[in-house]
Amino acid sequence: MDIPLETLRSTDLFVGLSNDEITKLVERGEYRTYRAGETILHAGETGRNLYVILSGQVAVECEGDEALCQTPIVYLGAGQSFGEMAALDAGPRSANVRCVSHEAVLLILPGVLLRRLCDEEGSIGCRLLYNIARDLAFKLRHRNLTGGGG
Amino acid sequence: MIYKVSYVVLGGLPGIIRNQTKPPTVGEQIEIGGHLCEVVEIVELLPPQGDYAYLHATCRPVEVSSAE
Repeated sequence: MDIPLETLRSTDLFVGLSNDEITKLVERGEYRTYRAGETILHAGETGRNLYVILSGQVAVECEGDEALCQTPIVYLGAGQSFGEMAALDAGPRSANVRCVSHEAVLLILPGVLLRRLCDEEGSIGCRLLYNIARDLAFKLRHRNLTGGGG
Repeated sequence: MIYKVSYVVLGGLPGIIRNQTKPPTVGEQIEIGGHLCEVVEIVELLPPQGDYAYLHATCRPVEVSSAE
């Protein structure tokens, strides 16, 4: 799959990285297209991959009582990342994530890459972690604005 | 410029976070998880940084009239 560099540059994860650095990272990941209704992540499962949405929309849904979880927590669109919690702490996935647009194109990066980059290429690793932290802060602000409901 | 926008929908529907190359405008209609919503207010959520602007848009669901 040939994704234009400007599309990759418009994702939060790659803010502050050079074109060469972005290309190097993307070469270590893979692209995948999901169809409407397809589940991308299941809550509770293990996995450390980090997902970047290049196009389309996904729904982040809680796990548990079906009656309580009929409404997604939030939708995420182009440029957003998810799966970062497990990528960082190796814990179980905290939510279900499902494709809700006709299709969604994602870049999937191995979570171990983050740690490796911090050890071997500190400036890139530091920038990625900063971008992830900033994105998590934005998600928290969004959640606060919704009163915790979406 | 990239606009990172937190869309919040009045009435309890889930919102969306997405990046876009054009700023949202009041009156614009967007689709959020299959629901059509209209933007009613836009405020700056955070100061811009580099090529990024951080906005918060409040939306209301658009009722689609039935042609039955």
